[in-house]
Amino acid sequence: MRDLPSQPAAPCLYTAVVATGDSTSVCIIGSGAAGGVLAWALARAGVDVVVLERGKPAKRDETAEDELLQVIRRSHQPPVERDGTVVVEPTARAEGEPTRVGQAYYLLGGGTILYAAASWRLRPDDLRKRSRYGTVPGSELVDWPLTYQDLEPWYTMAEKEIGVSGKSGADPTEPPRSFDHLMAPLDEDPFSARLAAAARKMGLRPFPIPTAISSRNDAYLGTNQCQYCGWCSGYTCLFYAKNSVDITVIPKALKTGRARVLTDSYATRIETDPRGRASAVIYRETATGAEKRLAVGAVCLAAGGVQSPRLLLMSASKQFPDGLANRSGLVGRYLMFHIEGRRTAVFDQAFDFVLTKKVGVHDWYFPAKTDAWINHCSIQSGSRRGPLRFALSREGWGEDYEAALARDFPRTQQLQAMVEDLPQLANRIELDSGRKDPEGYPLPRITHRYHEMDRLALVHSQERMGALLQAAGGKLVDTAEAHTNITGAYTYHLMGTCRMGTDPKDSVVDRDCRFHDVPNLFVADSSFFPTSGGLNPTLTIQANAFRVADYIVKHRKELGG
Amino acid sequence: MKSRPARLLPPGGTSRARRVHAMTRRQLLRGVVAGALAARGLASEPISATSHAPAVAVAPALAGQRTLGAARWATLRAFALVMLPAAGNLPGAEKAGAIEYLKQALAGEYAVFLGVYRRALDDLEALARRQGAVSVARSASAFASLSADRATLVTRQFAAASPRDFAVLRQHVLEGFLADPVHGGNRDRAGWETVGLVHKHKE
Repeated sequence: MRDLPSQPAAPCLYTAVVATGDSTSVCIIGSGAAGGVLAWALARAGVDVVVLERGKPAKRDETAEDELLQVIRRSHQPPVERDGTVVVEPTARAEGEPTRVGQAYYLLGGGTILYAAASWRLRPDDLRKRSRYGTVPGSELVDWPLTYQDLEPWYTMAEKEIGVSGKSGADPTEPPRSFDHLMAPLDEDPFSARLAAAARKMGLRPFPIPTAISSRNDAYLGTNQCQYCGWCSGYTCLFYAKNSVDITVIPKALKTGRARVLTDSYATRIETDPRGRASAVIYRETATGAEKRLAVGAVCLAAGGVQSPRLLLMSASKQFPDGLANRSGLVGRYLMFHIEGRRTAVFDQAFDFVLTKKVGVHDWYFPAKTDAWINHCSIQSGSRRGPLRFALSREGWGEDYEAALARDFPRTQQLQAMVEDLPQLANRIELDSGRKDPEGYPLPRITHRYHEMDRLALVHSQERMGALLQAAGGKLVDTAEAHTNITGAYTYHLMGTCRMGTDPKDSVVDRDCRFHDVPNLFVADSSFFPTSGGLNPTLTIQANAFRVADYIVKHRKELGG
Repeated sequence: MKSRPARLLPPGGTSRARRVHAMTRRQLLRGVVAGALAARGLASEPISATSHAPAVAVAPALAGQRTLGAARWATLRAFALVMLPAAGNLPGAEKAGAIEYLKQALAGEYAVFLGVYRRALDDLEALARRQGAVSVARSASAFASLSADRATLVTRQFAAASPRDFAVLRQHVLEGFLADPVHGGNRDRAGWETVGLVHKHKE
């Protein structure tokens, strides 16, 4: 038997729900990578949808390229004092202060507004970890109940509908594809050219990273050609060249007349009918504080790997005392981040400021037979810091400090590793019994510890990145051990907390991302990932959202839509 | 190095991008940021200000005393110049507009930090007087009267004794040096020029 501590029962907090008489065929909770695609794919097939988005439209124009607003003050996220998440290691003696780990972006378009836009297809072996590597003590490795062949047509659809720039066949680990990238890759910049040349000298096969950034104008996508300003990762795009879902698919969904998007609408509970089917979503209008009830034919969760399971746990009822659709006890379990490695080097040359993922190295993506880990690891360029963050990351002050900033900022480059986080039952989100948000709803609480293999793989990636930077002529200014501490190693990729599988005892949703326990409830954000791969997850989320939408369309009658 | 060919924005992109700049970002920010940040009890993550901003009594206690006073401003100016002195090609905090940034920030979004500033600047001042600057009138800044070496020594003592307050002040000075000029500092992009950042769309 698994050791599964019981989840604290969620209090029933709403008392005066406004019965609006409003209804929809499908309610989508969250408007990010998954929610935006679902809205478009369902609406174009004639399904009425309502998207509930907790945040507002992004202030794209006002905040573009503004480091103070976007990275320091993080004006697109709720403040940590309001909505921070406590993260604990299972063995930690004391709890830390709330952090932003696990927070999603509360924006129309979600994380796609600010992401670096790396748009990968997972590799076939990413989807069959158990078959490929066997059992691993301390990790519950599984195969996805899908193969790459199952997903391939949906990847193709996502690449066309979101718009991915790239060079097919250049990545030595790229799986077979039925369609070339929609657009040519972005141009190299001086640093990525230097890095690629050094990698080739080492006998490696560097390649342009596929990104959802437009390398040409595209009327269908509604995007403009990249202007190479360099402010990509972590920033809104002033030029509408980053293909976020609020530009590419949500406007098209709205144009059908079938989709409504309600911003400032915080979903707080999913109700079920006596048959155990989702019947309504209760949400709170942020502006008025009013709680409203939306009758639904079906619900699709798309709020991210922390907020989606949180909503299920907050929707506990007599029928589902441990949380909605949580008869397995696994809702919120198997939380995976990617482990973000970073190496930093100073060069003899000043470079343009570029925060765009340009060059990838995947010659070490799969572990060698002799390696003591089985994690998949991607190495990517384009993760420099802005000048202010750079200055704050360095100790000191005074003339020498100022002179060092002037000397080192334009010469400093970083590489980033995306290291797979192995699934572990004990890594989880649950409701924090002691902390509530200002509306009175329990905040999420994260318990997470990396597997020993995760750490080994990370250190290995750190060493490889160091070798690459040195080969390119850089002088390393950190050590391989840097960033292996728990607080420095999280990404915004939140995966695994509604695990997909075939057996309702060992998983939360089936291969169609439908909850085993609630037949008209789906999840399309990265909560469904059974394993995390070593690649940024957004394109997989989007491809799968097209697949889930197709399932809903085909089964709309039985779902009540 | 291959030079990149000039790129042309499509008609939609051109008008949209130009409109944004024509509107002046300051106009937009005035409403958006001031409201949003004040409501949020702003804290900037790099200094883990969670222990600072909320701990400071916010609006009611500060009503009517929203300024630091001339002596504290003199101390703050001197502190900013210790952080970023002017030397050779280095513009220093004042020329780069960091002081102006602090003025605007403390009058607006960073009013929640005024309590931190008062405490920190009074601590600095007390340390300066202990360092021998006792002859300076109470209404003036002893810290500002110190020689560069002594000011550095006192700043070291302050950083060791009050690391969190020091981190807040240091961060805000750096913000005034390197943040977008729309926020009031980084005058004529002097900070960006110092660190070699060409902001292609803000020239």
